[in-house]
Amino acid sequence: MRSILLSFSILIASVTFGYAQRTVTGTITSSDDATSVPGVNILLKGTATGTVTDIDGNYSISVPNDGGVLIVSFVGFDSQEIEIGNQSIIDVTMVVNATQLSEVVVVGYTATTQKKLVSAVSIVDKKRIENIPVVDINQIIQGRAAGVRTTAPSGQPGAQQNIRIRGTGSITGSSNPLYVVDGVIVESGDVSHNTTTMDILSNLNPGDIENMTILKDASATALYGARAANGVILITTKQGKSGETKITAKIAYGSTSPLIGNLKMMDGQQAWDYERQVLANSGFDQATIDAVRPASLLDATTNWVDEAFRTGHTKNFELQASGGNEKTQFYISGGAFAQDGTLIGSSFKRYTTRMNLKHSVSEKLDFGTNFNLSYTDQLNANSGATFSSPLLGAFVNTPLQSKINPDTGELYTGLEPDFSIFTADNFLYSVPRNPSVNNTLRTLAKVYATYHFTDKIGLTQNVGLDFISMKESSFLDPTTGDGSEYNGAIVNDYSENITLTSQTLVNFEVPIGDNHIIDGVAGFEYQQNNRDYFLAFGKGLATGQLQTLQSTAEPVQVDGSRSAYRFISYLGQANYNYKEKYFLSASIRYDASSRFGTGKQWAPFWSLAGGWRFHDEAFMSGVGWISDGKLRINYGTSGNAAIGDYGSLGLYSFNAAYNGIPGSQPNQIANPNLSWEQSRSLDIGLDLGFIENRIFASMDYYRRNSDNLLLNVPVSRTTGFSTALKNIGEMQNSGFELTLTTVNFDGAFRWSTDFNVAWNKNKIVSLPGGEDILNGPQISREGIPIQSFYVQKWKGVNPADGTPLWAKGGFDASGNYTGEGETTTGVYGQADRYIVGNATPKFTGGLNNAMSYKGITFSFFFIFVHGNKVSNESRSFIESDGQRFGWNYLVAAAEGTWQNPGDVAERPQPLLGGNNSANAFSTRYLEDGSFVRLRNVTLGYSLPKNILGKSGIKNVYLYATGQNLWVTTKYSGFDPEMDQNGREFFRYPVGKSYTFGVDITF
Amino acid sequence: MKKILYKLSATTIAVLFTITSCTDQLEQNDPQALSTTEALGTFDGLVTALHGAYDGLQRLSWYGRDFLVIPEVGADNVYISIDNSNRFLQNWNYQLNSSNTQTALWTDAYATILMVNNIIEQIQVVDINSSDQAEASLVEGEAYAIRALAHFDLVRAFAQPYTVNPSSLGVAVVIAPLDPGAEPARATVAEVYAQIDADLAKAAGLLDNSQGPYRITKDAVAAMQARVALYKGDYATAKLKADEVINSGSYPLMDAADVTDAWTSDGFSEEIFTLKFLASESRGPDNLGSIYVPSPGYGDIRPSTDWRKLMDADLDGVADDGDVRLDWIRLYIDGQWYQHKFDGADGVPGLTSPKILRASEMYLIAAEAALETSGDPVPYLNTLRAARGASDLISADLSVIMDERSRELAFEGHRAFDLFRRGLSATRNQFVDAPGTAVSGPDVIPPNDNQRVYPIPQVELDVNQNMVQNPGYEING
Repeated sequence: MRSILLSFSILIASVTFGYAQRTVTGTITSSDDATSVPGVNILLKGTATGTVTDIDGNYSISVPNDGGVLIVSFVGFDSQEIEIGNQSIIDVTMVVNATQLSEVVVVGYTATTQKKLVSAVSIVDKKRIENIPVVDINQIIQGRAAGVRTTAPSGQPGAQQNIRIRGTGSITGSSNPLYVVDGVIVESGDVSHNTTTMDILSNLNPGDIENMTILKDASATALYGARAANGVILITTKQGKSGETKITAKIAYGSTSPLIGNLKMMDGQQAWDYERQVLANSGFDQATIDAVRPASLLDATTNWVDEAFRTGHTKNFELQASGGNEKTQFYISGGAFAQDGTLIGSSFKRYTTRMNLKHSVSEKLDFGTNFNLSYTDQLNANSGATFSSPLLGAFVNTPLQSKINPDTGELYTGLEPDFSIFTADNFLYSVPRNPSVNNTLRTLAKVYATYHFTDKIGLTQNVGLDFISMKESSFLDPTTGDGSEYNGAIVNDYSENITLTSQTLVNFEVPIGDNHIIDGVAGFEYQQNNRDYFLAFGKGLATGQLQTLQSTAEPVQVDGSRSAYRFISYLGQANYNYKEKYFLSASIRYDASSRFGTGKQWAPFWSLAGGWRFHDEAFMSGVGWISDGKLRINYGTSGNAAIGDYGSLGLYSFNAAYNGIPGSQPNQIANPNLSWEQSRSLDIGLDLGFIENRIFASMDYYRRNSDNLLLNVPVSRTTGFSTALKNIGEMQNSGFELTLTTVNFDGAFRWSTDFNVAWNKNKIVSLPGGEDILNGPQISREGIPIQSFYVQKWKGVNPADGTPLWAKGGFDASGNYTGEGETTTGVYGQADRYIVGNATPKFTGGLNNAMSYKGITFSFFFIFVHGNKVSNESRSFIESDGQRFGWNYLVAAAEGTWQNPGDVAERPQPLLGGNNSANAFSTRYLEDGSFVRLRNVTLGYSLPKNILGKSGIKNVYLYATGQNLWVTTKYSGFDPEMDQNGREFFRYPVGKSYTFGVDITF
Repeated sequence: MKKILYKLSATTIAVLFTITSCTDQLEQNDPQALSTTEALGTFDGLVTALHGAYDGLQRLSWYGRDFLVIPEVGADNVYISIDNSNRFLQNWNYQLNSSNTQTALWTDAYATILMVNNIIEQIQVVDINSSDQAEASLVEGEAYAIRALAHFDLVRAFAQPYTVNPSSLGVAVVIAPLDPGAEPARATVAEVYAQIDADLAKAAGLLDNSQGPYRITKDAVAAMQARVALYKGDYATAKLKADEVINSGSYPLMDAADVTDAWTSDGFSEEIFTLKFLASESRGPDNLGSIYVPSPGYGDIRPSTDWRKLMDADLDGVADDGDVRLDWIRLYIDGQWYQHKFDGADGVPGLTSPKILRASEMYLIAAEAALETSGDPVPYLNTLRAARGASDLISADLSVIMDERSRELAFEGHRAFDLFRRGLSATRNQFVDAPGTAVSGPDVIPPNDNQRVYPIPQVELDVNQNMVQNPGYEING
């Protein structure tokens, strides 16, 4: 990219000579990476005297004896004026411009510049990606790009991340975006079989990434057609630059502590007191209470939360080398990353290598490869839905249970009759003995060759390979709760997931006269994916020390499966511009997929876009304070094909058996009419720059209608099925996004601010037959947003008897809620369900402040999410009014409980076995999920050049960074950063981390 | 020359990839599954599908566990300890609601009905070799019998007993594969029983006794007819069918010596239909026995003091008259009694193959039917009691017969249904020795309690406009 800028600027650089009395020399470096910048314009102010820096960034200029002012300018950097005085050596550090109109933006099959861009894209560049101590690049996006929300169901290192671009676009199909690495569509999401959670993109080393471009509207996504309805994330990796070879070593070390947030569990004394109270409330006499909960229980208590969590460590080592000459450029890197989870028994290690190589055979032909090999080793914590999970155990195990068996002085295994926890599992014993491991080897490779018929027309052939080889293994030690049933068990499975892509693309640029340019791309793409999987499960182990299948006494299960999909696509895009002032762009893609019914496989997608850089109009010439202005509008379609591979077929599966003889059972209703989800979207954008673009604002209004929604429509279970997949229903997302970039101070002390905020409004336009679709506590209903909570309304405690109350009635004749006539009921089964909020935030955004002074940089970054509801389903277990007796309880569970008639209490009287279903799900457990979080604070320091001297070291950058240091929220669970569906059930919390690192460039 | 070569190779690559990607690549078949017509297009396919239907009966919600546990937890044979895994509490304390209760039973029973309906429909269409005709008759008969069993279990669970009100709403009767948009309404209880009777009659005509006890035989159908008639209060038929099975002589009662451990294996003489669970089908802690047997099971559900008193009035831990059925429970070192009838099988804790129909039930049905048809129940009861080491009775009224059913069929999923079909309350006089060790629940569940009938699942009501909820569970709005 820089090389394009370089040649561009050399062309336009004006070199002039003037009279001079003395010479000033110096070196121009970039604040970005401390490397020298060639081609920089140096102009003596008020004269025609000027020069350009050479390839090493050095310059020499003649100036008057009495000095003067040098103007230093270069595309992409802020211009600087420097008083010469009596200096003879002036070294200048150039600061990267806040907005770079001529910066190249990769928009998929083509690239353009910010100036010519007519669609809504967000760019997250390497400055935001590097040195952030997270596993997965997706985790970096949150708050960095307007309208893009990243969430994760788990804080497990390597856990799957869910990204929503401009809201949720599908009800049952995937709402995750399409991922493209260096131009090739790659597998994304969780492709594991028996791993709790694994994001295949965690295999990418964030240090190798140059930037990520997020395509948000149809003009940008239409070229990706059938799979782009939820937006596209383009990941571009680093390329070498011709010039001196640069070697950078990066070392970082950090520690992470768990964020338990507002969640406080009872200690032994509190639980003992509470349980005795529950028994007393339930009418037991003192002798019984003393017998059931004797004081001796307090002798050996356990803080299970402290036992389950720990401080984890993060280590990162990377070596990057880049350079080359005019013919060949390379970027080579190797990295090793290790992170311990904050929960026992969870960790993630990653080893990566990358080679990006490009060679020009001649002016006509060049070729290259991007080759990435990575290996990950993930140790998984079981999700909170399993008994042996430390996540569940930490919060539900009674503190009155000692972890140590007094008979042996060792940890309880959980199987002892006197171990009183219902899970019959002591996670402290079982977790270290029962590892669940995922090992993934991924090869992500692309080779390409481009033949330039002329400098305006080129033919490119790309071949991409994405080969994921995944080994998963679970071990159950015979002495643990889960393992005892099998007398020890081993499950090993292996899968391969291979995607081959071929793209044949013609890029062209046709100037017509001086002022008209048409450019574009036409191409063909073929992609095939094959997946194979097998599993072996054996049981009966003599000892837990032997952990291979050979040591199992008998086989329990073998299993295997295979699946495949194919996509065939024709695509084309043409862009026209007149004087870089008026822009028109049209795209089309004709896509086919094997996933849909015969005759429904092909579908066209298209877009039209226009742009007007009105700042270049004559009428704007007098408005000096406005430094840029562009209006963009576009409309187009894209699709969503993210369903199962064989969704259209009526199927019998053969995984049943009776008495050792195989059986078959129906598992899917046929729907030969199954086809794409289609989305139509409109985007209107305005870009405005003020005061030499020191203030730059981008505003976008969008509206996206998704129809033909693929819905697993619930059917009467008397049919033998629960659901049937159909193309039915329509949904709309509309919203407004604002991105504001300001340079508050410029010069030696520089302070810039990036702010973005996005409002999204989701509405389900139509559903099959207008009927509601219920999914647990959530409902899909026409006219309201997806993931609306539809639950019983909690009306507090009946002061008369301490029993719970819920709302009933308040609907008019047509069933609409008016509130009139709303009463209460003490019977859960008679309470009505109401629409009471939504899991989708009203607005989200981020605020980053970056400051630099000489070699010191400081930045702090907030993210915020507002207006979403969280269903805290964990709390119905640990604040259950006695229903879950013998578990542990929230400290709050004992507070404000009803005691005597007339008490206006917050919580019902806790009774053994529960108080009239008081903990059945209701708005009692629905909470406000809004939060503001200080996501990142980084302090960096580049050692001054004079200290480095002639050591051969070009730059040393030291930094300290903190993640998730502070949060403000009303949410009572541990972490308000919730998965998309807003449902909490003993998730793995995120951590707070401190990392120290050094980057050394040779 | 060089230039031309480059152009040529670039074009070749492009063309090559265009050719390999022809449109037939778009036709992909699932390698794990066959289309419905392929799967059921041959006689062998139908046999495989029948095994799929038996597998359907094994679901956790049904004969895998829940359907055998809930009628126990809902009555007086057992109680739930305060140290529990939170299972079956709503059935114990009668806090059922339409969102959380027995949705899976409804779903799984109808899924199995679809399996057998597909078989019944396809067997008329598929070409069957003459050598397979005899076996085809059995397959069809078993399909009808499974359909009857599914409807019978549904109507027992989700509707009023026939003996209480045959014209009240039963369940949807499904006798052919339904369109995905179907919204069938509930038939009356009497209509459901009429279909069950018709299917059983059909099955009896098609079956023989060649493949028991792990498959449904002609005798198993007779046993089912006896039980269905008993539930209908048609005692003449009940006695006729029960006698038919008893008098066949094929199912002598097992010896007292075998009784204690009979459920840790199977294939005993008195088994008429046993649903075989292999060790490889273990559900781990969700095996039927594991809800009763502690470590590594849950040990949540324990025999009630009421039940122990049926054989051990003084609660000294020894049967008053040598009744071996008291050995189904054991006293643990923690001072608690646990049920060990379903201790485990094939070395797998808690695994058991439910003996869904067995001869001892036929003696009990015959006794009850004899009582109601002016016959003498005592010989039937004493035959059974003798086989259990218990002393002879001199006379028997209904409560004596109900007690005998409670002893013999304990933990096998009969108790609540037996009480409610007879219009009796479930009375938990003393469910635990020491207070504080049981989850509290109602002491008496009267026969008119709405909650003795399960709610129609909310997921069904949400999509099926013709489905009506049972009394006491209605939700407005």
